[in-house]
Amino acid sequence: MTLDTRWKKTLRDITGYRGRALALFVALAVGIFTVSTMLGAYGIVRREITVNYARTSPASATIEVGEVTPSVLASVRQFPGVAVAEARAVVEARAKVGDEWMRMLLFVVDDFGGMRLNVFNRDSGAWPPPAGSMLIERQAIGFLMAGEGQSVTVRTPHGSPRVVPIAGVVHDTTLAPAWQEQTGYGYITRETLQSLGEPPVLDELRILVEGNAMSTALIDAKAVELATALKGQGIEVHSVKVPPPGQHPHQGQILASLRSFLSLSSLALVLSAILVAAVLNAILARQVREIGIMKAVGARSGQIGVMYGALLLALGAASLAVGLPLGVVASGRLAQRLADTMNFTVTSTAIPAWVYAILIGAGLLMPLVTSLPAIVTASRTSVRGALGVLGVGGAFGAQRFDRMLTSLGGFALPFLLAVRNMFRRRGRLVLSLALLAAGGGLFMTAVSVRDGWWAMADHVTTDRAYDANFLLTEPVPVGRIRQALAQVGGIRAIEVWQNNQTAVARKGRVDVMRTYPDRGHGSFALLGVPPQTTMIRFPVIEGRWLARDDIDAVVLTPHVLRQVAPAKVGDRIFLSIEGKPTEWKIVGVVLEIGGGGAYVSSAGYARASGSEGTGRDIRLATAASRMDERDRVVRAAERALDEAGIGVQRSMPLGRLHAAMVGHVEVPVRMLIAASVLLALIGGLGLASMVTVNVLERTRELGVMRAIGAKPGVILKVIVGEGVLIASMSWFVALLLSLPLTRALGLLAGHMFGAPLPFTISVAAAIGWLGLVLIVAAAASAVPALRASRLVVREALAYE
Amino acid sequence: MKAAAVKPEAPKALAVRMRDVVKTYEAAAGEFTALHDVSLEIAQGDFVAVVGKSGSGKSTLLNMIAGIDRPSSGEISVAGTRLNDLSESMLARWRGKNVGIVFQFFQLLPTLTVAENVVLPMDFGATYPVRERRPRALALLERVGIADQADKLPATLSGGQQQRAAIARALANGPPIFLADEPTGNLDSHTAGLILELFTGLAGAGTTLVIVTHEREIATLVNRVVLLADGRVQPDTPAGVSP
Repeated sequence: MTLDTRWKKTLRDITGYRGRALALFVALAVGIFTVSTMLGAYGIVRREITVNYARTSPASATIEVGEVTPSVLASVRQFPGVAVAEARAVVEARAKVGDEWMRMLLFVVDDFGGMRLNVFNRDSGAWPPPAGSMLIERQAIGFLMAGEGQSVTVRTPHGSPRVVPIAGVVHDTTLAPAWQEQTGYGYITRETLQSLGEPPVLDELRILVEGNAMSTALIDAKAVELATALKGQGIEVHSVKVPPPGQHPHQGQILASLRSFLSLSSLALVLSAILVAAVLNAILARQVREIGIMKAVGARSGQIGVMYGALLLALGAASLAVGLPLGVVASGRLAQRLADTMNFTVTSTAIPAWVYAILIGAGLLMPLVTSLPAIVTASRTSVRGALGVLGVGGAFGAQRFDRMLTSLGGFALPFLLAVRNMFRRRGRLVLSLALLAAGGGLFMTAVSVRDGWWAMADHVTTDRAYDANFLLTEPVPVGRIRQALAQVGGIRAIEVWQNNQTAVARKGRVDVMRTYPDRGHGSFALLGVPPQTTMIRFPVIEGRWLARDDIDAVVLTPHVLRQVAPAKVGDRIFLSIEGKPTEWKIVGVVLEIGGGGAYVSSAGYARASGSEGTGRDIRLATAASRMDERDRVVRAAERALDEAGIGVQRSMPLGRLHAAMVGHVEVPVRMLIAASVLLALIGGLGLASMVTVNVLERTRELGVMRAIGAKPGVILKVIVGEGVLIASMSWFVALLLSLPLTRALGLLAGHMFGAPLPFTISVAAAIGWLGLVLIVAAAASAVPALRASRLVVREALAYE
Repeated sequence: MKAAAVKPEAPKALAVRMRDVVKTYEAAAGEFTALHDVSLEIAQGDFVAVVGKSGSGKSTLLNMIAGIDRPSSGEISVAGTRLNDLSESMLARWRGKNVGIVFQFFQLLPTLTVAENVVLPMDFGATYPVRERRPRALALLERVGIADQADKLPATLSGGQQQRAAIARALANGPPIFLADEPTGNLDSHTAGLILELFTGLAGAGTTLVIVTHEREIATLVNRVVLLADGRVQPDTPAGVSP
């Protein structure tokens, strides 16, 4: 069966324009590859993180009580609506790593073999751990710098430092990676807990509710009902924690990051499609005469449109055939990488079917949609108009703008020619500018957002004027703390704050905290600080900071504000202090990176809690200028507290907090850099293609110029000048475009911080892009211009 | 013996009928009227030469007949169809079946072979079954004397051969009307003569031919000359309404 002549022409056109077709194919394939990678990874991660988390049989709720005795556990298991109940404990301890005491969580399990909730799996070694030893989470090996068969010195709040052998390694997918949280994770029995100096008491009731385990309302209601019933039995209930059902602690952050990259990748694909439209527009300009011939011999506009539409579909299909499989492979690798980083397991890298559907649709349709105006215009070309096109001349001069350009004087002729030539085909100019501006704008946006992320992480150090933060095991008289630290040299300032875990509270009701079992995600603290504190200077987002005479004012961070929603600045809320609801008025919201809490005045806290003159949170500033000196002073301070019998639950040097924040942003930053490189590639390809096409079309015109005496140097100046002028204009538009794009992406990407990223425009990216477009424009213009200027004049005049 | 009575010739049907056609263009320098109230009738089977100086409106007139351009005012009927009533799409379809056009610069599609160029109008118009199209194309190329060039690309042919190919393409759908705009303008005199012979052959076969030309020789071949000057059909030529 022979091919219709229309399709033969279409196929041969591709061959005839193979250089441009190849550039378009590469640009589209890169765009499809990028989107495939991101969308595929998103689909895999979204599925796998849910599967992983579900496999751990997460508890619906955790009720912290005084002690979970066997009788309490038995009665809870009989409680209506409770499907499963287990007793656990989590002890916040510290582990010695090198010379530093690092935060460590010890998860106490009564029956390793009979776990039914918050299940973790054995990787290697003993199961259960023998008395006196522990298992560690696999991601903690690097953090603790110790693995199976080795030991770690551990200190619990009420115990002395003890060397604990590591009997095995587990994988707990419910926990964020140790390096990211700057926390080690250990798993011990009650016997081991006792040997570490802590009472062998399990104080957490973990329950799974019957019915719809994904219903927050149902879980909240059942947990509150159970807590109320326990209180009624005289059992002390400290807190009720209900994490978001079915949602891994980092799920929101990971998916938000992936969505940001997906947005950027989608824009990259759109950019590729715009490039296709721009180059097709140029190709169609050269096909006008052939379109006229076809219409003269009976072709209808629709038939012409179908031919070029088919050309684009073929291009899209070819790009998909290359970009999609590569993207599928890359998405699996990216998902695996993210999983390794985020401590969950990818059970399958199969991409969901909806991802394929979107990719195929986008890959095929996107170039068609962006090129539709050009195809419609070309296919509607009148026969008379089409057959009158000879490539020199045009309608320049008919409009007032043209005449204004003509009246420009005082410049050298090559410059005037370059300027006027630029505006001869205004539609093409707009398309070229759109393409280049989009590419440049996206590139600058990617780099700017990366800078925004770094700037956000830097807030950890810029907003804090202390070098270390110690959280004590219990409130201690301020005087005793100051006395203990008075002998430590190198301390510039100390502030002692009140600090307690809190939750939104209502009088007469048991309130629910949105906290995960790792005691990190979802929780927040109520801190009593001196209003004139010199230790923190968080930027105020809304309202104000605490005033000197504030007694019932509270300042929140965005993370906490979300938890008390719909309350806003000016409203009153209740926060619990040791189970007792206390009332506060929201006076402001501040941006706190690397933490998140509710800040009240120390006087207000003392009044509300009845604890005057004590503190639990030490903020310490050293006089040291070097990091090693700073570390020495911090360690000395910790030793002094220890010697004074003041138990330290957690110490956090500022450097470690910064490292944790950097750890959070490291992966998205690397992905942004990769995205920006791809965007630069597409943008550069687009620029080179457009400029080359523009020059090739003017071959006959260049022949005319040479025929009337123009030297090659003059021709080169005109052509290169035009290319450079277009590139410069596009850079300016790109810069303007990057402003709202950076703002929008910053809003999206700031999700993990609870606030938009700082609005930063990367000067380096702007200058870099300018340099890139100028060099590419000059080179892409010069090469064909030189080639054209070397043609024999007769050949140039006959060029089509 | 009494001479047999001479029966008067039956009036020929009209191939082209133009009434008060005006064509005005918007140009950078302002409005330009290419045709002023042109009224013209061409009978079926006529071989007409349209002559005139450069800018007299010859090509515009031809474009009107071909349906390539639309009049600013006035009526045009070609091959029994009133062109004013047709949309662009209908015009294209009508043109493919009713008009064959040959241009000065041949206007063959460079990426199609000679035979494929001839098949192209048949593919657009779907006038013949698919399996008949190539044989018909070869037959037409044989008719114009370049069957041996059928599978070559236009760039490898001489000007005369390209123009023959263009003529074959114009005949692809068997149109009743054949138009040519300066068909010999780009050819040497010998080749031009060969092309005109082809036209004579077509005219002899009953096709209505309208040729825009500068060639003086063609006046001896045609049965009618329409002289255009400044967009008007001159009254002192054997043009205007057919007798």
